[in-house]
Order: sequence, then structure tokens, then C-alpha cells
Amino acid sequence: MKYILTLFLFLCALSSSVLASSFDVSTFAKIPVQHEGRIKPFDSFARAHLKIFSGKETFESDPAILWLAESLFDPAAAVTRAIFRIDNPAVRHELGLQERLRPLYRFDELTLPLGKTLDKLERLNNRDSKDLTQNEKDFLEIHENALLYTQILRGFSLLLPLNIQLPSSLKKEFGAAKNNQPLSYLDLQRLEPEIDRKIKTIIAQKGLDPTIYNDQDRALATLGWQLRTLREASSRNELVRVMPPQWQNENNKEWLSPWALLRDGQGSPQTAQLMQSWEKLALTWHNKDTSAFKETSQNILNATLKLQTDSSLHTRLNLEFYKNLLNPVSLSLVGYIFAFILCLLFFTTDKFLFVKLSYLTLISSSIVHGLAIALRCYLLERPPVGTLYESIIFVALCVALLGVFYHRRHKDGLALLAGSLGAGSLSLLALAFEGRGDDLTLLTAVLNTRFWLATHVICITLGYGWSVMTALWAHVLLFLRAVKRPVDDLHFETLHRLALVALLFTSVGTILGGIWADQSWGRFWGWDPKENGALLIVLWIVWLMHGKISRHVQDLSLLAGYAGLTIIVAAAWIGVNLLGVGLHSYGFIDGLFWGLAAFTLLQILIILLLWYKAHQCAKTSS
Amino acid sequence: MSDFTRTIPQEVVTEKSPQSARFFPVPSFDYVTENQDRFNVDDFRGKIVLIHFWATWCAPCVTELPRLIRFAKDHQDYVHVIAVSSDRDAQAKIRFLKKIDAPRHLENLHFAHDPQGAITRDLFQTTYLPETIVVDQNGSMVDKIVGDADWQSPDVARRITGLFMPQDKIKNDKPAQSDQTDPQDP
Repeated sequence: MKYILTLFLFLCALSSSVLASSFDVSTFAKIPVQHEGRIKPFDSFARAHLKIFSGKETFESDPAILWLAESLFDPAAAVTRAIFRIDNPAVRHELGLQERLRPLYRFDELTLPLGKTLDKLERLNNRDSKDLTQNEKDFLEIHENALLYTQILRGFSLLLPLNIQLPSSLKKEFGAAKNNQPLSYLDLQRLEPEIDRKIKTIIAQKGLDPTIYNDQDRALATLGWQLRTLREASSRNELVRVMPPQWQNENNKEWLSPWALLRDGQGSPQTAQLMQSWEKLALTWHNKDTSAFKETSQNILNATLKLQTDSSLHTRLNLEFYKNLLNPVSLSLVGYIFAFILCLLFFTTDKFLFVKLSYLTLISSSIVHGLAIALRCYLLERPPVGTLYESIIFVALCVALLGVFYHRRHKDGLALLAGSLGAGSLSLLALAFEGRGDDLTLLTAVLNTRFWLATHVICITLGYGWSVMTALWAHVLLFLRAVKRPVDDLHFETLHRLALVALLFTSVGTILGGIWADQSWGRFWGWDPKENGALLIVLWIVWLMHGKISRHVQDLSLLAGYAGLTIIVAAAWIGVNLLGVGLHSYGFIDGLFWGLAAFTLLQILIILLLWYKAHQCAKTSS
Repeated sequence: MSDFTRTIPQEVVTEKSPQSARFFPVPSFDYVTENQDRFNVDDFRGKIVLIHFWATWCAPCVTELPRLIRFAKDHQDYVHVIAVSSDRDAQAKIRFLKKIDAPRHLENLHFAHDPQGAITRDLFQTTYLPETIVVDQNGSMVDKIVGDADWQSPDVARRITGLFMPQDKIKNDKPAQSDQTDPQDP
């Protein structure tokens, strides 16, 4: 493996070693590629992979797409970029890596230590992943990342200009046109049968000992070996799928990588032209011809769009490109934080201007947030909630909109405070749940049923949204009581309405979930952690409502109870993923226990403190 | 306009195209037969053209070619076969054709020689032999058979001849054909 990589990098060592930030990669960034089941712009592909390797979507100050272009077109230079982040000191120690302030390592300094630990890799791969320690999982991850990066580096290796000297007997094959240009594997491939035939003749005449060959024979044998090694090392490379299928049938809708296209005999006159354009693009990178790079990128984009059948793809590529550029979810997060600060300024200064500004900021942030979610639906062609990350941003929007809605009713800034605080906190939480790679992921499990995603999942998520707003509103009212500020009936009415709608959505969502479970798994109820979590929210709200109706629960306890809904929702929504059991494909998460435990403890302390202060105030006033 | 967009032909959607598929017209190319007659692939518009890529050094090709020749003989009215050999040595091809007693008089079977790979690799991006590209009577490339095909099997015959029949006839014929070929199929 190490030798193959060394050979490959040597063959590709024609190019420069400067990350050419002068290249205009904006068109290159929009070229479509199939990755993880959907067609996306190269920009998303680049960001997802750089994030997997380094945890960030930029390399130093350069965009991920520039890093990807270099990795594809100039692998020999790309391997000298420190992009592999290894946070685990035990793994760094095991691989014998130098300690650094920022634990980022180059691919070329990882290959040797990774090669030395292949035995351990094999042993770990044979074990059940549940039995692995965190150190072992991190060790496996760096091996997987290195393998993934190798696939990127070799993705276009058949198109790159190679550092190969042709024996004079073969030079005439290419005529004058290619005489002064470096040749690629694609150019040389046509000679493979002829080279093989000639090598067989040499072996038949002179045997297998290359020391007795003349220079011509040796050059021919070396060329044959180089071409075969390059082909065998890369022909299974299927990562960079940029070629739309030309021979379509029911079983063949997958896009192909250049290597797979050749390997599977899926070429056509159109793909031949497209491949030539890719080869030209690699050459423009190699020659640092920035204007030709942009022009060729545009030609490739146009040609690729022409070769596929989805008429909306161009629009979707553009929208996704600008979504990546603007990052509307992060923009709305900034807006929520501003809205919250303006609200606080209102409460400290009593100037009504601040509440107006906060209201406008919250509305505009919600619009941006809503558009971001709508865009996700359009790009993924499915309802808005399918992953844990999506549920968090959806609930954040729900809370922000409820804040706007109830501010119109109360006009005292309290709803804005609750809405902006809730939406901002949840958007921050969403950042932590973006996870590795692409956040626009497709679902493959039973959840990938549009009808149920649009009914059960939305219903349950709306239930979470209303429950979070109920809890936040209860926090606000409890705080007002604790600081001896008046809480009127209208405030309580809002609380009850919020709780009632939360109950409605959660109950209906739970029942719909049962019907779906009956259809999919053959039983209505199976005490699955997720089902139990939803039921827990229903029971908690029902218990508090009955307590209020029967007057067993007084106002302060009711407020504390509703405020505690944050803990119940957190346990039902995120906590069940810690258990690692159950049929829901919501994403089991390791390492979240302490975060959730700290949140629960903090919430209990805050609620108890507020309740105690409010209780003391009530006692004093009575 | 760039070189690329100028040379890529405009796509067509043929009558037989499934809705999801987009078929492109076969690029025009000339070839010379053994008798030194020059033809163009467009000369056979109105027939189904099978552009077959092969070579004498390719083991599956040499077993497949006699079957393809028989197929051409059996469907002379509406199928034209262009067998493009990638052999660098033209004599090797001639010797092989003599050995298998390939007919030279069939009007719908042409043997072309492509030693530089101008048609095989540069134009059609054929990398592994044998391969056959199926061009319908409108000149659209509608199918590609990768590897050796059993040209005597009813499936292949139906796949090719089905292209020639009008759409309504194919629809009407389908149940009857399936009943005949597989009586056990419910």
C-alpha cells in the first residue's frame, strides 16, 4: 500500500506545491457529484470531507473547494497539508506523532505510522464495535479517514498528467499532438495491450531477469508495471462520482467515478468528451492557467447537466452553493442572539425602542431560518425533519415563531425573551449536532417514508417545540414571581394554551407513531425508548393539568412543573439516544451523557432556586 | 462556444425512450471495410445498427463473433452490424475471419479496422472488449451490451428486434410473447 502510494505520488509529482488561491473555483464548486445517495455541488462534497478530516469547513483561510481541487489535481502537493485532526493523545502517542499546539497532521507524515499499525487495525476490525474503547474507536477513525482521503487523492488519477517517460518505440503512437505534453493514464491506456504483448515477447526471449534487458526493454517493462499498478490501485475507486450514467435502466441510475466508468465499460461518446474536459481541467491546474480553469469548469458543468435527466438540478446546485456560502441557520442564530440582547436592554433601560428592534430582529431571523428549512426540504425532496439535527433546528424555528406570536398578544417583551432565548440556545445546540460531514443527509431506515415523516415526525417535533416554549414561559413567569413582578391571568392563560397545544401535538404524534409502528413492525406499542419518551411528555403535562383542575397543584408548583418540562423533553428527545437500543433510526450518540446530566442538574437548581425565591416572596406578601 | 459544447451532439428523446432515460444520437463516423469501401454509420438510418467492438486477442470476442455473424444473417432485413476490430495487425484479423469462415457477401455485416482506436476508444470510450452499442432506426444510441452476449438467445433477439417494431405493436405483442416464451410464468 505504502509503495503504491509512493509510486502514485511520484507519478503525479509534475505539479506545483502551492495551494493556488488565485484560482476562481466558484464554477468548479457547482459541478455536480453524487455522494451519499444524492447529487450535490462539489462545494458540499469538499466541505463535508474537510470537516470529517479537520473538523472545519475551511483549510487555514482557503475554502474547502480549493483544498479539494488541489487534492484531486495535485495530490503530491495536497499530501503536505496538515488537515488530519487527531484530538486523542493516546492515538497520537500510539502513532508516534509529534505533539503540537493544534493537533493537525499531514497525510504524508501519517502514512508510515498508519502502515505500521495495520495488524492492530485488522484485529480491531474483527471485533464487535460495542466492545471497543474510545481510544480504539479513535484509532479506527484515523485509519478510516486516511483511507477515505486516499480515495480522493486517487479519484482523478487516470486524468492527471503523469511523470512518465515513454520508450521511443511508443512515442510515435501519439504523433506530434501529444509529443510535448505530459500524458495521462487515459492517454496511455490504449497502449496497454500492445505493451503487454511486447513485454510477453521480451520475457519469452530473455526471461524474467530485468538485469539482462537492454534500456528499451527495461523502459517498456517499467512502463507496463507503472500502468498496471496505477490501474490496480485505483480501479475500485468509486468516491468521486462525477459522470452521469449514459446507459440507463432500472438497475443503473448511479453516477460513476471516472475509474468506475472505465472499469464497468459504461463509456459513451458523451462521456469520452466529458472525460477529455476533466483531463483538460487537470492540465489547466497543473499549468496554473486560471482563466482556462474557470472556462473549462463551466464547460464541464454545462456538459454534465446536459448528460443527466433532472431538469431542476442546475437550480438545486446553485441554491445549495449559496446556502453553503451564506449558512442561513448560523445567520439566524446571530439574529436570535441580537434579539435576546435587545430584549435584555429593554428590561434594563425600559426603552420601548429595544423591544421593537428585538421584535423585528426575531421576525427577520425566523424568516431566514424558515427559508433555510424550506430550502433543505427542496434540496432533499422530503419533509423537514428526518435527523436529530433537523429536529433541533425545526424546534428552534417553532420556538422563535411562538415568541413572535405571543409578543403580539402580550407586547411586554417577555415572549420575545423566551422565544429568542429558546431559539438561540437550540440553534447553538444544533451546531454541536451538525456532526461529521454533510448535514444534508438522506435517510435510509424505516423513517424514510414521506407520509410518516410529514405526519408523525412533524407532529411529535411540533409537540417538542410547544413543550419547550411552555417550559420557557413557565421559567419566565417563575422568575417574575421570584423578583416580585406582577404575573397576570393573561400570562397564565398563555401558559395553559401552550401546554394544551403541546399535549395535543405530542398525543396525536404518539398515536400516529403507534399506527406507523403497527404497519412497519407489526405492533402498536413495544416500549421502545422513543415511544416511552413521547408518552412521558404526555403523562407529565396531563399530570400537571389534572393537578391544577383538582387544585392539588398550586400556581407556583404548576409553574415549576411546567418549567421542568425542559428536562422531560431533553430526556425524551435526546436522552433516549444515549441508551443505544430501540428501533428508531434517530442516531445514537456517544459522549452526550455528561452534557445532558449537567443540563438536568442546572435546570433542577434553577427551578428550585426560582421556586424557593418566589415561595419566599409569596409568604412575605401574604 | 467552447470545443466541448460544439462537438457534443444534441440529445434526442426517442419514441422508445423510457421517461427517465435520455438518448443521444450516434456520432457520425466513417469506416473502411475489407474491400476498401468507405461507409458512414448514418448510411444505415432506418435500420438497427449494432456497433460491435472486438479484437482477435480478446478471448470472449472470438467466441462471441460467430454468434453475432449468425444473428446478422438471421436479421438481414432490419439489422446492420459494424464489427470494429481494434487489432493493430490487420492480417491477424483477416486470418481469424478466414478461420471462422466469416461471410464476406452479407450486405448487413461490415468488418471495419480501427488499429489506432480512433473509433473504439477515442469516440466511443470503449475500454474493455467486447462491447456492442445498439443504435435504433432513428440513429439514437439506445443500449449498450458490455461483455459477450448470447446472440442466439430469444431475450437478446427480442431486445434488438423490439426496437424496430412500432410502440403499439410492442405493447400488443408483449403478453403474447411472454406466454409463448414462458408458459409457466403466471
